[in-house]
Amino acid sequence: MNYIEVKNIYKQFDSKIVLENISFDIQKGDIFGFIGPNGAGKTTLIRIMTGLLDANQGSVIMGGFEVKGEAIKAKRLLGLVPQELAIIEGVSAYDNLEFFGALYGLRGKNLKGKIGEALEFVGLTDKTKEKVKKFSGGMKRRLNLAAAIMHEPEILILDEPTVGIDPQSRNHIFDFIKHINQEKDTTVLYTSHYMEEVEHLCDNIFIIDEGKEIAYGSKASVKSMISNNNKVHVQLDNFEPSLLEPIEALDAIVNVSTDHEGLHLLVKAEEFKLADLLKVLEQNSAVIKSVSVDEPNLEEVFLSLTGKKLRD
Amino acid sequence: MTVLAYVRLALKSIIKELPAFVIGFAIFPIFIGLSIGFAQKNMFSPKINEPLFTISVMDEDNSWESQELIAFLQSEQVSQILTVDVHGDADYVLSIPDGYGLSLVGAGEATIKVELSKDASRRLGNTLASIVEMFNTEFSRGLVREQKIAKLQEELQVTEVGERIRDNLTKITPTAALQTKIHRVKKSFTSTEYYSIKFLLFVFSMLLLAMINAEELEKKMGIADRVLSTPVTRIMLFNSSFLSGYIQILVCTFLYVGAYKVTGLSFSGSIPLLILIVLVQGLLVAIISLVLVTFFEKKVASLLVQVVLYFTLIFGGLVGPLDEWTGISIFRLLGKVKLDFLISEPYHNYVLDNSFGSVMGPLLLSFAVTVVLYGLAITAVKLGVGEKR
Repeated sequence: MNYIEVKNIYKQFDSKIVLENISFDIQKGDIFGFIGPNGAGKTTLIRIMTGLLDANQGSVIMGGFEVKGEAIKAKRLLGLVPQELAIIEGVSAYDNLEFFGALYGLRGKNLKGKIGEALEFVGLTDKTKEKVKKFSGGMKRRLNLAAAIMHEPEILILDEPTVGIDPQSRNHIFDFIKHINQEKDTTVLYTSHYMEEVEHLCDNIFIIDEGKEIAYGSKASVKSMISNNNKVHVQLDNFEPSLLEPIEALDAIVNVSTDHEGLHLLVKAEEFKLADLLKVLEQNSAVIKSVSVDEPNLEEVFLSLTGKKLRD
Repeated sequence: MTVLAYVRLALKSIIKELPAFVIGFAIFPIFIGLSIGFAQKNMFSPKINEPLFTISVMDEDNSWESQELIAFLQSEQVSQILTVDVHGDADYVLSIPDGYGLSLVGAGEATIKVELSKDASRRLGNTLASIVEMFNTEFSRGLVREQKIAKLQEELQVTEVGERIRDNLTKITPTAALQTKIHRVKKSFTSTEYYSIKFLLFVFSMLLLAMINAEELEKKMGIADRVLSTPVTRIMLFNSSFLSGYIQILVCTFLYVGAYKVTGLSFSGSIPLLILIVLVQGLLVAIISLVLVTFFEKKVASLLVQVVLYFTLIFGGLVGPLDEWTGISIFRLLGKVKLDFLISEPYHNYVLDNSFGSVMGPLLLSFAVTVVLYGLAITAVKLGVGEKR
């Protein structure tokens, strides 16, 4: 079921085209990755999706409500974690959540309860009454997140939520996203220019550059756009050239090469079975030190499709 | 809920920063006001119950009319502000020329001269001149009235009725017309009262600059976007910002006027009237801040506030009467431009008159301007003005 539908979004600022006919669908309960370099148009699209900006053409439907025409209904489903630390520094973490919770219509005991849950969820219970200006960057990021999830939104949009934070806080955020997705079936749109984050979290992705679609689909299908092959590296203690013949005879093998580090195989991703390779090596008395399989990563996909690195 | 959320947040922010607010809006302004007020206290009339100055009179006309003038100057009403000194050692010398009496009925010209002693104030000299001028006008009118009544009596030949009319009309004496003038002279500002009002503009300017900066910061930090990503419309956001800004302004203004009132330095009149002024003026300042951030970028909005502030500081008398110091007439002209009129006038009238009637006019004007500005700003928000900023 399509829970979010982005249809032919076109946006132009003065003479500059920022988004050019961007379309994608997100299924209910999906974690969807929206990736591209800085300035690609990610934040502009999020502003359009959240009703902060009007597109010149196209429409966005969230949970059955068109954002432009039924903004309030659509926004009730939504939690936004902006790229900036959109929290009020002069008051406490509790005051921040009380403020944003009230904007979502929470009140009284319900509001208090949700504040407690959200602070516990992001690991800030012991900092409830502390002024936010005293928080570390990572703590502020987590509070930024708590403010977006305290009303238990059906759709969570995260715009580069890990910029400028320590690895510990980053892992905390990843765990949190997986948790909220699994436990509460929250649909997540995650934008980043860190490919490894999106690879780690998302099943379906959209790659954007200079306002245009570069690739869109499941992670595997996007990777297959540049290659259907994986690389397998085998390190042996006792390499014998006679090994090459039985390995090359395996069905999935495309190419075999050797160097001082060992064997390097290019294999058909869908047909290759590691067990077959290990069986051949065992039959030929090879002593295996290590085996690794490299899939093409999204960074390589982006490089291959645009001719430039993601963080250029 | 949106409005409540904003009100609650505004109050919490104020409570958390209360010491800074007290220092910024109560202690510091009083300290500066007292310092400048003390340095310039000689430029203000002291608040005393004794007559403010002495005059001696040289009567060259020696007519019934000139004697009436002297009697008037020695009357109980006028002696509240001046004393006629028969020994000639006075602040001012009033010379009544020959032909003065005839000039009052239009038969010739004769101008009374006021000469200042070395240390006499020019402002009080002007007050004396205006008292004499007022007497002349009223006296001339009285004479004309008497002539008309006499003629009427002759025409009607109803002596009793005519007498009654005449009695009623002649009860309108020059001293009655002078009541207001005397009141104004006696109730002139002390230096601290004067600067307590002048500094209000400074306080409001600081508040406006702080609110413009806060609005910009909210946009930069993405707080405005986050709020708008919740089920909140731009109009709701505007109204909530207006209300939270208003609360902040009220707290700061009450701290300011309260500090002056508690210390007895200024705003010594009726408390309900003072509260009314603060409530209405707060609306004006709150809407000015929102108009500035709706129509202008931060740099332009801040510049506008600073231009008004510095203009009023320099030409509005806060740093002294430039025209008197320099003798340059353009300063006199610029000094007449009252950019802070709407802000200061109600407080000005309150301190001087402490009456509902005297502050009602300026307050109604303030309120009307507030309503017009609100209408303009809300229309601009509906049209999406400033959304790209």
